[in-house]
Amino acid sequence: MATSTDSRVAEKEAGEFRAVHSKIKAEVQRFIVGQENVIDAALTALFAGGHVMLEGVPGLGKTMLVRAIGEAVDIHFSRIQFTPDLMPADIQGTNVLIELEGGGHELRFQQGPLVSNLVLADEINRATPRTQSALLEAMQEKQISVSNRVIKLDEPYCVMATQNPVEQEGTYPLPEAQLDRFLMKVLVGYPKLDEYDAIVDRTTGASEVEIQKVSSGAEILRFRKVIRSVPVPERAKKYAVRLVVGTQPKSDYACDVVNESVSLGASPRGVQGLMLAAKVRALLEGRFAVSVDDVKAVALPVLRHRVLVNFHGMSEGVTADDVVHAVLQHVEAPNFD
Amino acid sequence: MDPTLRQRLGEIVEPIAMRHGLARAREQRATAIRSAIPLLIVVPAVYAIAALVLRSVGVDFSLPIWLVVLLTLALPALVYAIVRAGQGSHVHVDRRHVLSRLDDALGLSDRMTAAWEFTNEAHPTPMMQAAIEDARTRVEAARAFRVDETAVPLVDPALVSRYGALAIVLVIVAALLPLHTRDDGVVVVPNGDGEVTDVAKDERDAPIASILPPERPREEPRAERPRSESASDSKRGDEGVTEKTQKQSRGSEGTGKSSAAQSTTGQSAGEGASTEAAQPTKGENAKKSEKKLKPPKDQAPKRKKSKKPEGDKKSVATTGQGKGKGSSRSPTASEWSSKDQSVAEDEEELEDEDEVDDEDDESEARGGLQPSLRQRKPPVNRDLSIGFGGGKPPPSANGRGGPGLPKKQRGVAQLVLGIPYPDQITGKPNKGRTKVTQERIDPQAQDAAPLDAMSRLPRSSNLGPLSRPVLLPWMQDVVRSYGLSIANATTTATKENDNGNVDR
Repeated sequence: MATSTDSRVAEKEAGEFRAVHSKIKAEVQRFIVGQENVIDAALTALFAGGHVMLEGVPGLGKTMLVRAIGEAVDIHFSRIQFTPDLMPADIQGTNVLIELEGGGHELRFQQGPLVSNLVLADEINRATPRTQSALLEAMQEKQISVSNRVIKLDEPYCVMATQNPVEQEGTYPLPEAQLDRFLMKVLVGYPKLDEYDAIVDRTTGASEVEIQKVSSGAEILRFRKVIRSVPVPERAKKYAVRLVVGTQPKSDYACDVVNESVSLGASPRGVQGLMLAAKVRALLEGRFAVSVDDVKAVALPVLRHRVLVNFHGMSEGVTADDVVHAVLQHVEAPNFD
Repeated sequence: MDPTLRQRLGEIVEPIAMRHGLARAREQRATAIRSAIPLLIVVPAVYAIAALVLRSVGVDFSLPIWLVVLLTLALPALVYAIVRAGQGSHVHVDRRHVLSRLDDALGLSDRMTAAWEFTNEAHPTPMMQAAIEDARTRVEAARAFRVDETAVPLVDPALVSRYGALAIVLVIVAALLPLHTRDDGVVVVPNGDGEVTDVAKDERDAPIASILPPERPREEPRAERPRSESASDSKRGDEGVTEKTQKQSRGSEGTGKSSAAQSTTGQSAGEGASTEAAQPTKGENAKKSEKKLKPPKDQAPKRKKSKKPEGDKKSVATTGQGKGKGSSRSPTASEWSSKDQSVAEDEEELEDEDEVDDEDDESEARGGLQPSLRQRKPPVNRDLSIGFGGGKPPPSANGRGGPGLPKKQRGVAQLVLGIPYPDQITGKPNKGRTKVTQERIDPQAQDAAPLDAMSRLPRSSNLGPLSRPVLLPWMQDVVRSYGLSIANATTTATKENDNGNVDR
């Protein structure tokens, strides 16, 4: 049975988490101007143990943001620039013929950039499906299988991918199975008008911003346990389930927009994502249990890439965001009435 | 388990839950009443409709007013009792419901609901304990929480008055409906066997033939009928007796026409008497009067059918005016013919009954059940040609047409020119757009008024100075040398053939 001492420990851990989170955020914001929601989402994915997809037009600082997070946290960071000719062996690693000093040759495994802690998959939709699929095992099971070798990836392991919503010629849209593995999909928008001045000053001046390492991989792993210990009351849990079921056509909680315009709704992995992201938010908001508001707040980035709009919806101009908004409006939180 | 916080939360929640329970019980009663009030008009409406129908056929139908009122009130009362029994007598209010309302009202983000749930845990985790402690600091703020339960009126006066007035009007209408009496003064009174019996007011002892209903007006003039038919009519001696009786009775009704005049009005009175008055029972008379009430749409084909007596049908068939229908029943009919053979519903209605009987008889005569030839469904499509027949689109997207649009794009670089492709990834700041690498524009004709030809008129004024670019000396040399080269080329005209030789 928990005592008041235990509760004080929990409060202390939650406080430390908030402090570390704000430190990383502040360090990243020294480099990135604005984009507070994007930074929060990326850090949420990092602390919750998920992966994040950043989508936006070129020049908004997506790659810089991920690099900044990689520099602010003392973890191994690698970057992969996805191109159509990139092969799975290029990112996973392959056996290379090495000439020995004493003569002779030996096949030695040379690991690829996927073996890291924080992987920036830049312009992920430019690689072929074959290479994209090489990420599946790494993202879900945190391991890589190359020929008869299985490499366990070190925790924390987080893939932050970027993609460009325009210039779709020559690209390969990610399959649903690949998209589902991302905890969140964040849309990076243009900065606000008053943020442009700061961007110009920071990026075109003589001084360079140096990011300090304010956290470590071990710390992130410790906070992941704290986050997972956040309890979820029945009301929030049921609401999250209703939201996910509400994205599935012909389900009990599906609204008209879903029935008409959605061909594929969110899977149970969507509920897991909602819960994990909501737990992070609850701690950041100074609470020790998940609330319905937390679930609502994270629903859009967690569910938008898990909803597949059908042809009818596309022709009507319905987007996945519209569907999630409609579900949020339609589904009510249980009130035990 | 934390009894202290749970107790304090209970103290806050209990009065609110009690008030909420009372309000819900009142709401349930109001719902039951709302569902019962519209039923006030059911009995009066049924009564009015029954009176309308029965009195129009001459049946004197009326109920005592006290019985109508009693039934009118009894039905809603019964429904109210059933609905209330279904709702149950006890209204249970979940404490979490009240706490969630309290959380929403005070902006506590489910702190109280979560704490209530966690205090019931046998082994709360440290984080649950922290959540309980967090809620404990906000309990005092929650004490001031009051829920304003809106008092739902039990009975909506407007609803009651509306339906009550309608019920009264219906009862009055039913009571004031006039009793339909026939021209012959016959009142139809229901007897004990459920049949109706005609009773003449002043001629109860008169012979049966004299109280027959008046003949329906005939539309076909007698002159158009074939001579053989009129001849056959004249031969029916026994029918003539009935006809005479009928004419006599009509005369007694005071229609002002003599029997001779009526027989020459062109109406086939003799024909009608031959078929209808052959066995004039009282039950038939009632049926006839019921037929008269039917709408004219149904009446028209039946009248056609009833006008033709047996003799008439035979004579038509022998003169070759019958309608052949055998081809449409052919089992070897082609797919196209079976599709095109659409038989009107009216025609089918007329023919179906007789033909079904005929085919059943034939089937029995052949010694057992035969395959039905009456199924006019088109045969199964056995078109084996590629595609869906005539370039039609697939009847249903059953997956046989290959992968859909999103799937098809995957794995194939979108580099095909001329095919519009909507961007699949639609970002908020810059929405996906459709890229068309080659656009096809069909030429469109433009109509314009023709211009009339006219001769050119002389200039009315000077043209003025013409603009001319001033060339530099080196430019002038270039132009000059170009002109000279052209001049030389024309003098020594050459022609190169496909083999590369120069023809001079």
